[in-house]
Amino acid sequence: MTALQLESLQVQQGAFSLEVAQWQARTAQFHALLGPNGAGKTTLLRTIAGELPYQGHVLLHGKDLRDWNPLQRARHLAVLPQASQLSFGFTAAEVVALGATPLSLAQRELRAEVRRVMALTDCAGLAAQLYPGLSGGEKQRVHLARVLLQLSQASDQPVLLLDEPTSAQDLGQQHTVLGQVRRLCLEQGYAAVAVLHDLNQALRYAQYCSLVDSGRVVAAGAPDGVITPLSVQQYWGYAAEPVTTSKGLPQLL
Amino acid sequence: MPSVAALGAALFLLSLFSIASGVMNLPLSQALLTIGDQLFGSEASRLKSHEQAVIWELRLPRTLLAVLVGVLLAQSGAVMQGLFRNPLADPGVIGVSSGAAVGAVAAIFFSPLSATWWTVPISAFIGGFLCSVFVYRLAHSQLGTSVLVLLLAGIALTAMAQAIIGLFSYLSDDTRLRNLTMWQLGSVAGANGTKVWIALIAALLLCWRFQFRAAALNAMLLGEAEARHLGIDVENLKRELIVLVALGVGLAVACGGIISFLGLVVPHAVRSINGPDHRSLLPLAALLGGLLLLCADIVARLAVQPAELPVGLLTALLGAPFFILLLLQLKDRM
Repeated sequence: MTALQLESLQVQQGAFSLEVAQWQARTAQFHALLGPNGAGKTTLLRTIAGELPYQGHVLLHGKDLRDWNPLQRARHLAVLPQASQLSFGFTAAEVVALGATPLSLAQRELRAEVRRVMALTDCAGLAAQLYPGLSGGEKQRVHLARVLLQLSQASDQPVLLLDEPTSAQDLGQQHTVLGQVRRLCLEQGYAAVAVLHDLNQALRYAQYCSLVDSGRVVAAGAPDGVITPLSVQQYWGYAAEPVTTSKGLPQLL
Repeated sequence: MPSVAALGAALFLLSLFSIASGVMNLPLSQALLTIGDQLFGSEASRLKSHEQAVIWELRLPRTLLAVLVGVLLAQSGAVMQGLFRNPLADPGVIGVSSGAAVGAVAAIFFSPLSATWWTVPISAFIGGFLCSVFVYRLAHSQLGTSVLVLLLAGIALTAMAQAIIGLFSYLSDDTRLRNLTMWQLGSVAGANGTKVWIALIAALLLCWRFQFRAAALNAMLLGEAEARHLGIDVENLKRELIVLVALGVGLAVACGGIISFLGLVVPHAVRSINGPDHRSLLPLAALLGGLLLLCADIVARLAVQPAELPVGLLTALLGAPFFILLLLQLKDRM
């Protein structure tokens, strides 16, 4: 089922313009946005998140973003930021509870929901700790719990946008976060759209990829069809060597 | 919330003390009966008429005004810090205090002395309001309001305001210079019924609207984009809060002169003990702000009797060590 759909989209950001004639992201699918620096991946993601003015249509579950009530939209579409600006001394559980801003939950339900999503993202043990003192990976898990809470009352399949979710993380944390997002897609029908820089992560976790270059979507399809030595050479200017892991997973060296 | 009740009770008791004490020490029971007489038209108080006037026309308005100015400054400070996501932001940051100060100084300079009781508050409010609208317009673009531009514009306006105030001071004769200086030091000694009513209405309006926006302010601490993703109309929120802060600070400056430090220290102190959640931060900051300024005003009145200290000096003198102590004790909570 289609969760997000772009039609005749035009976004102007200074001298840079993004144009997408047709594009979609489906429910129960981890969709990676790939492309070299300055290609327009983040502009595309920010447009879908409703942060930038656009011409054309960005349809969330068939309805243009601009026609959604902001609170209703927040219940269906959430963004996991690359890094948060939060510097105030909330506890981790209080940060997670901020995800309930667009929801109507009684205090008791809220506490139970916070515990539930924190358990889901392996951060239940951090609940009483102060957020500013957490490591980068712990903070990311807390925010993942926060957006899960935000999406917990969605009446349609939730859409989760991720902007370079692993850029501030060590290797183990990168795989934990991407693994969790993939599980949400497969087990709970989330539509996840993530800007990724690491092509091997895309090959490993994504089920679908869009390749963006110079403000256009130049290729879309299954990861191993989009990420090839030829496309890597053409768009990143790097001669990659394809290998297959012992588990049959295609990777690039 | 037990802390709200405790602070409320402390504020009430301190208000009673403030009304009963001064150069002329009057029994608390009689002071209360005087207030009752004035409110309900009875004649229960045994105080002489000039003593009753001291209670009703001087101490009661002054006590109430000190509390209300404290409430306005502390709440405005808390909201500004939340809005700018910067615990060091101050209502003065966006230029409101400076604008208000220029307005007030201009009024003191230009108007005859007999007219200053109403021209100063109004000019201070207009100055503060115009400044905040100007700064906000400057920082506002199609893509939203830039907090960085707001902060920098506030700094520039403050510098300009200092220069204008300096110019007025330079051009003033001795009497005006003394008025200017005293006003800049901050005092609620000029309290009267009109000022109290205006401050009360403003304080109630601010408390109500800020509390209504408390959850949205919490979301703003995550960043503007995140707040938008959580369904908050960020532009609308910022517009409303900036106008209300301009109103609050403009009126506080108009009623009490320049009382620095309170808007910075009080929210900080509450946040250190109670955490940054605006739903409890705002009422606690209001009460603590009122309590602290009233406390400072009582000390200002009683410390060097029969003379008085400017309360603005005291808030800084009392507030700064308190603030440093809190910083030392609760560093990790900041």
